[in-house]
Amino acid sequence: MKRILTSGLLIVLLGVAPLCAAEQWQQLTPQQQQALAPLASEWNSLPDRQQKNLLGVAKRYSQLSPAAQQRMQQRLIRWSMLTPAQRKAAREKYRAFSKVPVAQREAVKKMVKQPQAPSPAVPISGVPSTKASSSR
Amino acid sequence: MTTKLDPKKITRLLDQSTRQLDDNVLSALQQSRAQALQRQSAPVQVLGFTERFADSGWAHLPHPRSARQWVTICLLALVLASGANLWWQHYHEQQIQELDVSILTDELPLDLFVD
Repeated sequence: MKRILTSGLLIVLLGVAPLCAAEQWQQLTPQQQQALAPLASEWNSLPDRQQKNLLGVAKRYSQLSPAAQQRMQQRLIRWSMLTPAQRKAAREKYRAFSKVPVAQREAVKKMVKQPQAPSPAVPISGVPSTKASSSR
Repeated sequence: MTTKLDPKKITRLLDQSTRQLDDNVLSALQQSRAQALQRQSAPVQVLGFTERFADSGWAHLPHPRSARQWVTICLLALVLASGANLWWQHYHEQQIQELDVSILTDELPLDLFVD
């Protein structure tokens, strides 16, 4: 009976174990440190759940193209600064965007990539801005 | 090399050796056999489930008879439940991580998806 109860306790503990898996920056492998380099200074203060998620992201880092690796590192700090709710909302938006027809997605990409035209000195309407008129 | 054992021959040999046993040993053996048979024929009702099982058309299924069996079944259910839970958690985390990698590496800027 004792053995049965011990194994039951072990099972419960094993089920809970993954929830308490925090790692310090120094404990990360060189590969993980390379992937998550922008977060080096704040890594130890990140919540366990976020650390675990980022370690999963870092696992895929080596499979990315150099351009994608660069993009990921540039966005890591901004991404880690978001609240869990913001990240969740962003994931939902991204998921929804993935369902948009390819042609429309490409159009959006093209639109975003287009360099913004410099704002004309005189507005298209021809009416000078209020700032310019008040400075006289 | 191996000799085939005839069941009848074995029975005969066992009968012969039983006859040679000491009376005390023989009666002790008979007693314990009777006890074992008695225990097997009388179902032990634990937690009142045995009768209910029989009444509800579950009689054809083997049902637990002792507290130990109940504990074993509960533990098995616990193992299965925590296994399924762990699997689901892992699957869900994998999905999120894949999505995060896509967001972080997409050609579209991050701000497009962040409020």
